[in-house]
Parts: sequence; C-alpha cells; structure tokens
Amino acid sequence: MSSGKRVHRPTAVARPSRSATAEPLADPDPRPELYPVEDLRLAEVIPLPPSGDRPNLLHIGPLNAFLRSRWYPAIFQIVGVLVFAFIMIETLFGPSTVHDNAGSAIVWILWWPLLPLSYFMLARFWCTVCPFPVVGDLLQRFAGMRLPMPAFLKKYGLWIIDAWFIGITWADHVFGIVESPRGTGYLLLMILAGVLTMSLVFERRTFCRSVCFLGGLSGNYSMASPLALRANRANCKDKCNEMWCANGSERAAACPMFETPRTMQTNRECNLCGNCIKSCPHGSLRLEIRKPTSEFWHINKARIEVAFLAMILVGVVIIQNLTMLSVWQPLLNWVAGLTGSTNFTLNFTIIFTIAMVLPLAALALASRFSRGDDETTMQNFARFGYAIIPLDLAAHMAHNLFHLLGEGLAVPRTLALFFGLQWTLVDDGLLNTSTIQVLQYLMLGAGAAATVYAAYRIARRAGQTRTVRALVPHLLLICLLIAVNAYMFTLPMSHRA
Amino acid sequence: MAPHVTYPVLPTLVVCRRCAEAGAIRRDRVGGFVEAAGGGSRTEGGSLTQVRTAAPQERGRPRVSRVAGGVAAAILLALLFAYAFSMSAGGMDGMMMSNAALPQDGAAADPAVPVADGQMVMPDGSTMDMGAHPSESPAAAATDADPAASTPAAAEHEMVMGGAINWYVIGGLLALIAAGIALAAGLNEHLERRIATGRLVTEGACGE
Repeated sequence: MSSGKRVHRPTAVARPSRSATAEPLADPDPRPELYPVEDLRLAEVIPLPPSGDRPNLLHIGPLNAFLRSRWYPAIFQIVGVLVFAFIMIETLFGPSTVHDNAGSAIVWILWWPLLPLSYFMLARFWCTVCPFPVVGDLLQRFAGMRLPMPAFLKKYGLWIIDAWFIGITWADHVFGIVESPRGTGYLLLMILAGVLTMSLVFERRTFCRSVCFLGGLSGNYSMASPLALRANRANCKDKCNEMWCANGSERAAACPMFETPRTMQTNRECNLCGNCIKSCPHGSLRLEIRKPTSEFWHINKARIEVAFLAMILVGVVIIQNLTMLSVWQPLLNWVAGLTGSTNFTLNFTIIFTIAMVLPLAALALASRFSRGDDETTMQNFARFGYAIIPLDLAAHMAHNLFHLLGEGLAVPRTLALFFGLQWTLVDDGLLNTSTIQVLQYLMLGAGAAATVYAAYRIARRAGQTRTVRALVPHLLLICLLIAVNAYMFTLPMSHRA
Repeated sequence: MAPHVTYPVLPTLVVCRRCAEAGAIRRDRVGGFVEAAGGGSRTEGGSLTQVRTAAPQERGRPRVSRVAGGVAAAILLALLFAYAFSMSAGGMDGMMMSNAALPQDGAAADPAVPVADGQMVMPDGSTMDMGAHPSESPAAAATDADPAASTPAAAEHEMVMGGAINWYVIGGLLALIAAGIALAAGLNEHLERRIATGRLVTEGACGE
C-alpha cells in the first residue's frame, strides 16, 4: 500500500532515555515500543477530508464537477462511437488496399499506437470510451437478460483473455489482418458481435472483464499508470454500510467492471467510468497522481495470470518487431529448411510458439534460482512477472512509435482521399527514421529503468531476507530482454500503410 | 485495555473522538502501527473521526517538487549536452541506418514468388518494400531507378526517411515530459498543502 511510505520516521521524536529522565514514563502499557502521543507532538489535530490525507484531483472544483456530471463519460463515448462507426464502414466497404483506406490508417497508425500510451497516462480510461461496450450497454438497457457472470468466467477470465490475445496475434500474421482493410473490418465486427452477445445475456460489462483481449493488455499497462482511483477505506468503514460505489445508486449505475472501489488496490479492472464517484454520498473516492509503476511493488497477492500475460507480451512485441524487420525473411527461410516445407502458417506457428514460450521459460528459470525457502517457483514467477510490465509497455510504445511518427501522415492523406481532397506530400513520415530511433531508445531506456527498479522493490519486500539473491537472476533476465529489444530497434522496419 | 482501533496507515488515523481529544493515541515505533486506547469506541456509542497526527511541517520528508525539479533539471542538462554533441559531431545520421539503405536479404520462403533485394514476403504472398508502403511511391521509384536522382520528390523522401537526428523535436518532447512531471508534482503538493491546512474538510470531495 502506497501510504506505507508516509510513516513518519521515529527519529523526529527523540526516544526518552530512561536513565536520563528523572521520572519513568507514566505508561500503563508495559510494552517498550509504545510511546505516549504527547511525544509525537499531537498538538494540532487537523480533521481530514473524507477522501483521506492523500492529494485528490477531485478537490479541483471544475474537474470534480465534470466527473460528477452526466456529460462524463458520455461526451467521449459519443465521439468514440461516431469515429468507430466511420472506421467500420470504411474498412468493410472502402478501398481494399491498406495504403488508401482511412479506416485501416486510423486503426493501425493512430489508435493502436496511441493505445499503450493512453493506458499509461490515463489508466483504463479508454475502456470507458471504447465504442463496442457502449453499444452493448445500450442494448443491455433495452433487451438485456442480465444474468450473473458465470463462475468459470470469474475464475478463469484472465486466462481466457491471455489465450485470446495470443490467438489474435497469431491470426493477425497468418490471415494478414493488419495488411487488409477487410480483415480489420471483420476483426472489429467480431469484437462487436462478442460484446453484443455477452451484453444481451450477462449483466454489466462481462465481456470487458472476462473476455476482451484488450482487457488483459489494458489491465497490465494501466497498473503502471500514475493515475489511480482509490477510496479512503477508513471513511468507508466508518460511514458506509450500503456500498453505493459497487452496487450503484439513483445517481449512477453499479460498477460495470464488478469492482468494489472501497477495497480496490489495483488499476487492473477500473475503467475510470466515474460511476462510483457519482454514487458515493460520503466523498470517499479520490483520484490520485502517484509514482508511476509503484503499484507493482505494493501488490498484496500476485496473480500468475498477470505475470503470464506480461511475459507473453514480451514474446508478442518480439514477434511484431521480427515480422517487420529485414531479418524475418532469412529466419523464415531457415525454419523452412528445418521443416522441409514452405507453408507459411506452419513455419510461422513454429517461430511464434518459440517466441511465446521462451520468455515464459526464461522467467520460470530465473524464478527457480530466485525463490527463497518461503515461496514456490510459481509464486516467485508471479511476483517478479509484474516487474516486466514497464519493459513490455516501453517496448510496445517504442515499436508503435515507428508507425505513429514514421507514417502518421497516412491518416490525413487517406482522409483527404476519402473526402476527395488534394494531398501533395509524398511521404507519410512525421519524423525521419534516425529521430524516431533516438526516441525509441529513450523510451526503452525509461522502461528498462522502471523495470529494474520495480524488480528491486519487489525483491526488497517486507520479510525478504535475501534481497540480492532474489534479484540477481531476474536482473540477468531483464538485461537480456533489454538487449534483445535494443538490438531489434537498430534494424530497419517496414511500414504498415 | 484492548485498543479500539489498530490501523497501519500514518499519518491518517481513525480513532474515536474522545481518544483524540484525550490524546490517548499511541504509536508503535517499530512497525508504525497505531493504537488508540481509552475513551469510547463506536460499539460503545462513541463516534469515529479521522485526524492527522503529524505536525504540518512533515518532518524529514522530501518534497515531491524537489524530485520533479531534479528530474526536469537533469533532462534539460541532458538536452544541452545532446545538442552540443550534435553540433560538434555534425549529427549522427551516418551512424544510423536509414530505411533507404537496407541489408540484403535471402530468398523468399515460397520459391514461386520472386523477391528482390530489400523486399519482404508478406503472409498473403505479396512482397513489400522495407521502409516503404506496398504501393510504390513516385519518390521511392525515382530513388530506386537512380540513386543519384535529385528530383524534389526524391529529396523530400530522403529528408523524411533518412537525414540527421532532429534534436529540436527530441528536446521539445523531453521538455514536455519534464513539464508534465513538474506540473503533476506541483499539483500534488498544492493539494496536499490544502489538506494539511484543513481547508478541504468539507469542500470538493463530498458532493452531497
């Protein structure tokens, strides 16, 4: 818990020396660690706001009013629905070449590269704006059966998300989803169909919580965010028996993500939809700015699914990079020589499987050497898997930076084509490759530093007696991953549009 | 006497009012735990309240804005050095590989598809130029046909795809990040100060 840092150092209060004082302390409690409060100079008892003693962005009047108004998040959702309606029509019925299709350009050159950045800056705010569940919410309001979320989804939801994420990545390369506007359109249609079906049958946003492949990604990345919504549990415990934040009120619906904000300790499942802020009559909620990535070393119960996804993402970024690099074709040829087949699907699947399994195996190996006597390898795997997330995020953003800045003008160019306007610029690049490479390295460096620090803090957890031994195997793995990513960013990469 | 509340978070305590008023709050120096003893508890009909136990000056605690200022200063210094380096070295474009100059690749997996140098076979069997979009742009075509061609289009292509590192853009982005960090830290400190002075008890958070 982050507020653990706020403990005041006892050095501020001199421990009274028993030999120096004429009279022994009038302390009825025999335990020597307890000191009368007068020693702590509780001269000033300052009542706290309901949200506690941590800075709360909701104390900024206009922001507070906006988040409580009916326009939040509706205004963003309306824009999101309109933009994605255009994208779906354009990808399904527009030009069939990715170079000329505005829908493809917006999705893969603007939206997809900005998504990890948005998860970092604004946590899962995008999930509130996401147009698919917004349409699902509307359908649910009028025709939803509102059955409870099935138990198996509750239990294995994150594993399902992990599996789907791997499947989508594989399918992207095998069926060429990114390279085809129609493929993109079908993918979006498939997501919409899934959301509508789940919204029709189950209550709230069951799809987002347990099935959406982006949910895993957003959950992992949003944990690194400096923005977090939390409740002052002390105030909740004192004043609230109804749990308006979780169950909803006449002012706002229940938490769409099945969370209980009063006990929430992670950003993983919080969409920042603001329902709990609107519902809580006690003002216990706070929107805080905290140290980025600090959540990773304050996790009470590490989940192996999260660590698994973190390592899978390492493999996904490697694969995404590899397939756009000049070394990809020789690698594919080499595997073709081993298998004796030129079947792309077979050879790609082999490389893909290795790319997914290797990081997992490497973390498992590091955990085997890192674990102490008081934990299993899997527990260590789960704990330190969180430390890899900043590196995932940085590598993902660095990779996408090439598409965003290297071909960002494809978006206005294709839009100009759509509206029949003139576009005279020849290249789509906003910046040249050398400049983008420097930015990629800076981003990777920041992610690497955050990962190393997170691993250090995780290794230094309370009760850990062998910090160095716990840390070194993971540091070696992190260095290896940094080197692999850094090497890949030195190689020239192909464009998407 | 059994403590009414044991709560491991400082400086916020939840204690009964009578405890707070009587000053009957104790601190475990080792673990940072707090116990409130004496007076009434909620179960005994007393009311709970939150109090801030520390003096407002927050002894020994580094201010966040100092950290933010340090980060901002470090980034700006790094920028200065980087700019000085770029001026002296004349840019690093020679060290960086541009997309226009690619290493030679091997043959395609599918022998039926001829693959030229600097091209890559895509999953659907088509080929893609590395560093360019599938449809050949006039500039790229001009460059491929004659590397020494100096048409305006080719010049623009070269400027975008190759060229020196733009330190101004990098510096601007880093300065933007530093400004963002400083702003967030300053905002946090401002809000914290308002809490410490007790000005936010009733305003803001509670909308009722």
